[in-house]
Amino acid sequence: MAERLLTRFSFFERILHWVVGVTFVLLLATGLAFAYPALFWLTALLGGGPSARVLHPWVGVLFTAGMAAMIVVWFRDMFLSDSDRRWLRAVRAYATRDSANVPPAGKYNAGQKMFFWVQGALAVVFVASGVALWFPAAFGASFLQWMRLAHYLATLGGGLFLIVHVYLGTVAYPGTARAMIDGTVTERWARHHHPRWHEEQTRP
Amino acid sequence: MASLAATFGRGAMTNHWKDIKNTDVILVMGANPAENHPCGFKWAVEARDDRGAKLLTIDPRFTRTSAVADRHMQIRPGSDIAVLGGLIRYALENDLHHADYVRAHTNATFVVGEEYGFADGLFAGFDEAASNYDKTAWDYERGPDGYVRRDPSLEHPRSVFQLLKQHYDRYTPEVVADIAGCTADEFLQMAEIICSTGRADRVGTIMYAVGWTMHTVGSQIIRTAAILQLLLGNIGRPGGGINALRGHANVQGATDHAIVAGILPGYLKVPTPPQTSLAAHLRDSTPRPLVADTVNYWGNYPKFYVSQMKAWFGEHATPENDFAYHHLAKQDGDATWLTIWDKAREGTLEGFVALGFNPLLAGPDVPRLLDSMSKLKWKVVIDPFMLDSAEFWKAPGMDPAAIDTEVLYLPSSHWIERDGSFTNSGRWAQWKEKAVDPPIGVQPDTWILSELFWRVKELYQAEGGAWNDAIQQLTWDYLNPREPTMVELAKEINGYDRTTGRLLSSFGELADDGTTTSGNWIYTGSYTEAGNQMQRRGTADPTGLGMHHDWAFSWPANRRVLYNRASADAEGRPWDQSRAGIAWNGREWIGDVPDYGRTTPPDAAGAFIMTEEGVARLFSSHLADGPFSEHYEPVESPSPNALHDNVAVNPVIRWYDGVRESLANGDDDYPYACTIYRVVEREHFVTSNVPLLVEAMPDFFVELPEGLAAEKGIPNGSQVRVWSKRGEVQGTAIVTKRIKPLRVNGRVVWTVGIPVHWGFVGITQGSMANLLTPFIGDANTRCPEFKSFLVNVERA
Amino acid sequence: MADSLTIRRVSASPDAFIPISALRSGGPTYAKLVDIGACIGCKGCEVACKEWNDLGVEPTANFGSYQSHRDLSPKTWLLMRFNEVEVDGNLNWLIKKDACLHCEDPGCLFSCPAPGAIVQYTNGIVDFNQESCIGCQYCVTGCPFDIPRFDASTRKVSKCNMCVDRVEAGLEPACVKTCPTNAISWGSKHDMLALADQKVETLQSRGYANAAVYNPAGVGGTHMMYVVPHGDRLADYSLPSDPTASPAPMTGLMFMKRLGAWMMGFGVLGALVHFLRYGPERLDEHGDHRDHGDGPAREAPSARLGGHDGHGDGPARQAPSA
Repeated sequence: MAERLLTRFSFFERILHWVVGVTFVLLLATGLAFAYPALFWLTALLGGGPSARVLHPWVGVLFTAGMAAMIVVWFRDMFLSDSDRRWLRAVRAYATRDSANVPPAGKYNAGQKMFFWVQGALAVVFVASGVALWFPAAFGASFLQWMRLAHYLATLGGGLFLIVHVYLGTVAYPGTARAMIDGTVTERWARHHHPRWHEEQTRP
Repeated sequence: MASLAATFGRGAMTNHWKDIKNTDVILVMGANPAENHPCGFKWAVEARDDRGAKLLTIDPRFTRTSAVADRHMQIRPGSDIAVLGGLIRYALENDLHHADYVRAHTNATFVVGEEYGFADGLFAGFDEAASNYDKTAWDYERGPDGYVRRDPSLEHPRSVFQLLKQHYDRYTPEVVADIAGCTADEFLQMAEIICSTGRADRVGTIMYAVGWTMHTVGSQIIRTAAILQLLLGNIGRPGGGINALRGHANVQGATDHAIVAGILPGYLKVPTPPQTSLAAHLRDSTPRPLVADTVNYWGNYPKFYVSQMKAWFGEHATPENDFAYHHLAKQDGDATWLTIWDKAREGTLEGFVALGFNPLLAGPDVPRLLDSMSKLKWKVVIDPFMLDSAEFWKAPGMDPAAIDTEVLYLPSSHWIERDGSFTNSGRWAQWKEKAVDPPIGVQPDTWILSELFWRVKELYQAEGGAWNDAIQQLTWDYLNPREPTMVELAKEINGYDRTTGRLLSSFGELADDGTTTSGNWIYTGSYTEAGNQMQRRGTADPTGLGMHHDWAFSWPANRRVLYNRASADAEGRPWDQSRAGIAWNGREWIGDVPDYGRTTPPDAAGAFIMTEEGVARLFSSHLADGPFSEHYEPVESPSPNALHDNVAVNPVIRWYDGVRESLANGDDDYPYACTIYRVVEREHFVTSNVPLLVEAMPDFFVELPEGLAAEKGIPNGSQVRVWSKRGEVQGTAIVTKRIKPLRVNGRVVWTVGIPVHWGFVGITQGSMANLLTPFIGDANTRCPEFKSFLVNVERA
Repeated sequence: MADSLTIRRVSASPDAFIPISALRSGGPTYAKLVDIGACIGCKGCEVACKEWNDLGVEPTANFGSYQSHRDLSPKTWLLMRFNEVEVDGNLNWLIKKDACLHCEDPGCLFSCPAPGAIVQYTNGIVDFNQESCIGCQYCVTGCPFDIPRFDASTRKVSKCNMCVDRVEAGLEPACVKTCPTNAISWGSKHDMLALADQKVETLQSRGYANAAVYNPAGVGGTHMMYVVPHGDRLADYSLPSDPTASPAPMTGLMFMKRLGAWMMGFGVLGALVHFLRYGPERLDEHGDHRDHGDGPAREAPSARLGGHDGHGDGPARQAPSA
């Protein structure tokens, strides 16, 4: 018997996610290519060195637009509640699958919310430093050097986020990724991961 | 050049470029060699750095030469004689002159006639009606032997030395400061360094250029400097001299070959109408010795002259026909630049051929010049580039419909497109090779001139006409008579022994009987049987003084330093062994090619072989405006003449019609002194066609002192309008610290500077500086007064 | 002198940061010595540079200075800068030849992310290889002398290459060849340092007590050095008094890049370890963990598939939530 499915993300939300996701991966790949000579071949993703340098900021513009929309759309859902704070204190239990000791989450657990805010903050750093590096002629060398450092640090943060995000969203928690594909999750999944949300969704 | 000849006997840079490295003090005045002679200027830098020489600039502006100088003094344009006169006084007053040198090698000992005098700005013999001097009033006093009376003690009150002392005694540091606008203190600091060379073991040089010649008193400025250098014993010596820096690669060569009015090649004289026979011309032109012990080399004038006529007319020049003397035009009056255009303005000059220059931009008072040019019936412009002069009818403000002048433009090859020789400032004639072919259809000047000659000749053959013989008999003996080669011309200039056909090796071989030819006697020896001497590239330098006798050919006779006999004392011992020009070893002179007989003993004759005095002239009757120099104000001056305001300006300059009315003297509407000049990025006007040089100095500009700009509300980089009573220009303001206000006769005088390189044809257009300049010239050469006049300024 | 273009360092390569002391260079290094005290500002070098390197003309306009261009550009690798300064009441017209100094430790090369876009030859010349340049302009940010210029039309950065093609052929750079007053000298770095000392001595004897050689240690010395008459007024010549090839943010960046590489590596590794330890999460029908540990996971592959059954097309579509 087919399990009952709950809609977790709307079509628009999924579009947003993938705009941000794809652009971020491209940006990360080419950014790492610029940062690490050993990865310079990754510029091939955007047509080689010179064109990667041209396209990277434009992809960044798309990323920025997606991020901005995402923030607007999810902003309200992402405030931390008291139960979220409890969740955060129990993050170790979450990581070790000790679900008994994980406080029940709403639509988003506190980890997801934190990622949202961190990601938002990083985006601001990316954009601010990225604009300076896009138009270096308008700025002084020393300022640009600091911007390069800032841009890299954001890259590092974003890169680490991506590892966790992709891992958790795919192999670690089967049934998760579909939320961003067809927008649905199984009730079973919802009940386990987001019991309070599940409750809201299934309340008659 | 006129004043150097008047002083030393030859009109050319006394030393040569590389010799500047041998000096102890370099005074740069009336010149800006870093900008206008950058390649030669390396030797000044070398003297400064390797010898510890002092490099000094005196100029209305702090120039790029000043930027590398040890000391700079700013003066008002046109005050040079006051400064140099002050230096003469300083040297004499402080006994810094080189007494032995002065006694041995100058006419300081000569006694001047009783008629001579100087009072209230005028020398004796002034004829007010004719505005000239009767020079007999400046004659020397003669002894019973018919020669000039001399007083070796220098104490005779009418000895040149005493007269000189007396004459320049008025130029005290305070007077200098009053006239020039520097402070007495600044002047004294300069004077101390410059006059430190009046010793046997020190030597100083002066570098000047058109900053001196382009004044109504230009020749006399140079005279003053020449007198100073003689007093300091600096003439004839390696590292010394008074060095005229010529503007283009071949100005010296062009002058040697008579590009200036009034001379024939080799500084021979143009016959005049009263000289109705060769004998009369030779009599007037050949100086007679004034003392017994002078070589008086110009006494050989008939040999040079007859050889030249033989070169030009060959077998048609015979003793019977006065060596074709009558084939030459006799010049009535002068044919100088200003006079030519004055004649055009009157309508008495019909046509004009401009070959290799841009007359519209090169002359003063462009509005007047345009008016004069418009009155020509025809004008031919021969040049590698289209010129403003060829399109003068398109000049701003002109109405082409009102101009009837027919203009022909003939594109000619550029000098990089043909071989030939350049004679540099230091008189080195250096052969060059053609670098590239001219564009298709463009002909060299030699072809154009030959064609012109042949077509005129053929026309004469067909139709006859006045002076037919002169044209039919002119020698045109070239392999291809339609286009002589440069080598053929060089050989012709050198000259042949007509009997044997041998190329002559020295002008000592020239004869006045028609057996020799020489197109230009000072170049005899430049192309001998041993080959083209100008092509030699030997770099040997046995003296270490950079004379390089195996490099090219230096006129005269491959001599590197002129008047080098004066580099040694009366006994022939060099003043300074470490910088010996020539030295007498008991049998002959060794060192440079001696400017003296090679085996003539030191006491046999005076050191200056080209003068009838045998010595250099501190007092000289060869200039029109006085035997000594005197400070006269420019015709447009912001100041009265502090010495004699009743004779404020040079009394013997020629005033052309309408010029007085075009001047703004004493007019408060034109309060600022102005001077024009060149910049290193550009070469005159031709570089308007060179993109990279236009890029390096793109626009016409006006240099303004900071204080004046502030007073007038002119920000740096804004557009300014500058106008004189004759015209106006507009350009970008360069507001600078490099021009300071001067205190002249108690009032503040501001100086404005303007470069000359712009016109209305070329890659970039800009105002013509000569829209502003006055139509007046030097009393001797008529070289126009480009360097000091009055303007007003405002923000455009 | 050695004229072959042996490469010492290449941008964005493992060689880029090798300390100079560890590099065995094949021969003497060249240096250009600019004697500001002998420079007349004629711009002959500026024009020669353009001629030799075929840089072409860019339109200029007088902006109230003798200086031809306001700034260096892709078409102007060498610019004479003019500055009027009064020192102790004496006017000085400071004229400086502004162009690449060819640092021993080139900040541009260190900054460059494009492998091979910037190379340093063993003879000391730092050269931009435009074919490898990606136009990021990081070299601009890395240069302590503000020299490289970006051409927006070609999206390449360029600068003086010390006429490397001439040098290779045994000739001096075009600017040296042109200089009429011998204000620019050319030779081995060793000889030029000796000449510089001599020139400083000359200047000092001429009254320039603060005359100095500009060969800043912060970039390991340069292959274009200046003899500066007013060594105490470097700013008036627009010369930085203490330039460095490794400014703080760049040092920080280099450190963080290494650290970051490890961190990201560990991030991936951490996820893998976590996966190996906990495996994919399996839920029972109520959404509770079926079990813990990895053993049972292997025993119940069907359940795992079951979890994925939820992906089934038909049923999913048939069961939209409210």
